[in-house]
Amino acid sequence: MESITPHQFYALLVVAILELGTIRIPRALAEAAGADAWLSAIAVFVFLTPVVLINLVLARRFPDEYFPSYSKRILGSFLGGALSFLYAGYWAVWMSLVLIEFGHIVRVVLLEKTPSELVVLYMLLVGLYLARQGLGPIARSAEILLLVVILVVVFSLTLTVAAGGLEFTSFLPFLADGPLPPLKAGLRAVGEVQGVALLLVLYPFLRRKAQALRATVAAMWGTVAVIVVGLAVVTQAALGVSELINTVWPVLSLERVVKIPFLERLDIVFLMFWATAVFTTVVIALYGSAHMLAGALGFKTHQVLLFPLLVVTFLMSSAEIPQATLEVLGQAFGFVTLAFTVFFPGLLLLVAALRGVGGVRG
Amino acid sequence: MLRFLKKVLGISRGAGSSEEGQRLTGDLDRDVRTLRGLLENCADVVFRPLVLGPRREFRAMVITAEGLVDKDLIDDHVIRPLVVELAKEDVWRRVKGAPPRELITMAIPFVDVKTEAVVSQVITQLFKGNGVLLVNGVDSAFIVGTPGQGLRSIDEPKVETAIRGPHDGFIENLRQNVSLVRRRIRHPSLKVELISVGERSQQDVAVLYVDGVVDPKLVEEVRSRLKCITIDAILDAGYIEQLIEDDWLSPFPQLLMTERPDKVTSAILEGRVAVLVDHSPGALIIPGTLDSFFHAPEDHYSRWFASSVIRSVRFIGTFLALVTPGVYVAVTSFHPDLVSSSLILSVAATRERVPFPAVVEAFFMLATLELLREAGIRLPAPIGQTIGIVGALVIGQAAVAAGIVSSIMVVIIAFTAISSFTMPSYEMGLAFRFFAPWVLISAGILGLYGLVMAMLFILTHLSSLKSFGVSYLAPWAPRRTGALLRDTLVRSPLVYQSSRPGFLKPQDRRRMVDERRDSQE
Repeated sequence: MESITPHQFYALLVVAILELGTIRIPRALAEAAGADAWLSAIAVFVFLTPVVLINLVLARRFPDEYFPSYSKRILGSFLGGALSFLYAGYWAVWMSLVLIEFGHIVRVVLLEKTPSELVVLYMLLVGLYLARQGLGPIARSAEILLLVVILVVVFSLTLTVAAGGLEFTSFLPFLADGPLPPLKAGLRAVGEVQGVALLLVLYPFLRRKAQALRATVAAMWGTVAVIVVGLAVVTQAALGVSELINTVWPVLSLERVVKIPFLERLDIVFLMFWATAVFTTVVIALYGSAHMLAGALGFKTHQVLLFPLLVVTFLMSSAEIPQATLEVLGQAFGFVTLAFTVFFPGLLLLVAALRGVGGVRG
Repeated sequence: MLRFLKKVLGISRGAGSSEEGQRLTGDLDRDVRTLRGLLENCADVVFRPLVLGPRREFRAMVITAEGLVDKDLIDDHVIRPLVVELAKEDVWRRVKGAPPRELITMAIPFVDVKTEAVVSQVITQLFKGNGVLLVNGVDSAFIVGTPGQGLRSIDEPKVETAIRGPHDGFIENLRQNVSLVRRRIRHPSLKVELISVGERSQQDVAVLYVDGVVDPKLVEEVRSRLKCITIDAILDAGYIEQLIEDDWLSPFPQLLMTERPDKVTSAILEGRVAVLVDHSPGALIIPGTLDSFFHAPEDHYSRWFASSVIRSVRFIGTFLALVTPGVYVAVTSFHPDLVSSSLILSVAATRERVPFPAVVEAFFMLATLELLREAGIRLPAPIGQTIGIVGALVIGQAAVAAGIVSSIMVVIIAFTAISSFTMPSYEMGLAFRFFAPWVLISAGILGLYGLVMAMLFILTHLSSLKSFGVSYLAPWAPRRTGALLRDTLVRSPLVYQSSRPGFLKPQDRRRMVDERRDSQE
């Protein structure tokens, strides 16, 4: 079994979480919290802390076991297998939603006349090729692509700030309705940060488990939080709250504002590089889904399940769903995410503690 | 059934397999008959009978392979001492009484004299260019080390020239090649293991490493893969490369091939293993990582800043060679609003008369470039240079005038060709050339998105490669910041390169102590 280094663990978490939700999240926060949207962005990660910790504590209780194996030990063979199946389905649906939205964006910004099915299929096929190789190559790709994603974000933010036109008055009035609205908005947006549950898949492969907490903290708060909050602050300052609420993909709109010599559409360049963030999310979700499914069905290897998963995901992402419906589905999916990142890990921890399964004694 | 038939008909698998265990008897006539039988129709093998002693006391036979043996050495230092010197009474009085084995050893003034009793091994030594001496009454042959020199003298490799640094290169003689490395590491920790590969060629393959530095598991893995090779003959180091690398389906080379002794020395001092093959000027360095293919030896001979800039030029050049045609096609066909209007209008103006889409035009030019490149290699040097000039100036200009391609496309392809020549490694350059059309097709179908996905495909393939257990993308992934900053992204000053790369798992990490800097601190 190929193991991953702490840095690869960190990179996988970051690239799995950073996807289209990241460029959409400032709008959701502005709708709920108005001028205090940037505070909500910080609140998201404060509320995410216990969520991540629950998953980490559960994973640490079974350091060298895969999730399908210990969930069967905790809940029994049938329920444990069913839970793994549900996780596989959750990630497959997540992948489909990401790909549907990505297809929309590509059609609007990059390729107006190209069917989005072709766009989605290409990404899925390349993703399949990588997922087949196993977690080692996925981790190595993630380490390289993390640099690309961070560079793109830093470059975009720097250009935006340098281009001027940032109105910091859009942050006023500060806490006009008190602290509750931004806190509520932050709490609601926790479900938008999908990918946390992948920690359960990655943990058993980690080589130096003592560094898991440090890697997780670095990923969530050192990188993802900085990027999301940074994007939220800059988009709010550049576009203002009212325009932010009326923009479907605010970060892309931000790039349209910036002009540099000889390049007129920076949003195209940004989206081109952001496609790598979507790709990594799709690959890790595909791998995680196949891994869970293999555990649930008793397969020795995940590879044989990748192609059927690809077919199912492709068929789901070929559904013609209008953007407005997609947003509603996304919000509903946020609650589903909370089930898989809070409820199920919490339940497993509780039952494992009560039954004395796992940990030092188990 | 087939095996039975082969046995009945006497068809054997390897050359001389039925005589593999046969030994010499000491009866000169019988032994010579045996050898003549095995060497039937080998016109390059010469049998020279000798009679030794003033009263013709001993009979002997010298057997050599013409063209392989050094004739002067054989004549002056084997035959003459035996025939002329031993015929003198005073010399004979001193040495007579000694057993024939001792007598011959005393008579031949050679450091490299071995004995061999197995017939097949005697023949192997003969064809390695050694002289074989059979003496009546001695049941083994004397193998006298008299191999001829290489077919050419040591010269700078034509493919890997350097502006600074040594200008010697490997040739086709294994012993000479090993000596070029030994001269640079005059320490017993440099180990040279010889393994014989090739059922019929019995080629010597030398495995070089620095004991105490290299990971012993790496050496063991190299050894075991070489011993597993079962092939008729190894004609070049490239055969070994293809037979021992991890993924032979991949277009990317996983072992670094070089003709420079300084590159080999530097590699084995880092903790890698080198493999040299007799009759091949190429040396293999194991493991090969993607980054190592971008290194040139003179990186370490010049100042760090200049070397760092030039190295980054190589990275950028290779990247541009891969993406430039694709970017051009994507921007002109799918995203004309990406660049400023004046630029896109001038490009459109140059393409006005061209009847083909940009992707077809780019394909045509890439194909022409590859044809010219290949033709330039195959043709004799003076004509090859002419073709290069003809191709670049005349064909390109004529194509533009005929309206087949646009002038901007000629510029793009010329830029691509020049960028591709920044790659120091020929094999790696070939691999990237293989992917360039794929990137072009992707960009032609899906614009910049297709280009990005094609690059991601290449990255995923590179991520899956390993070379003898080492990740192909090391030290980028798994990330090793120290190695990245010391000798990857930049070539840091030598004083900061005191440690060997950790991803090679060397036994001894430390390779330099800068006492001057340490004492200043």
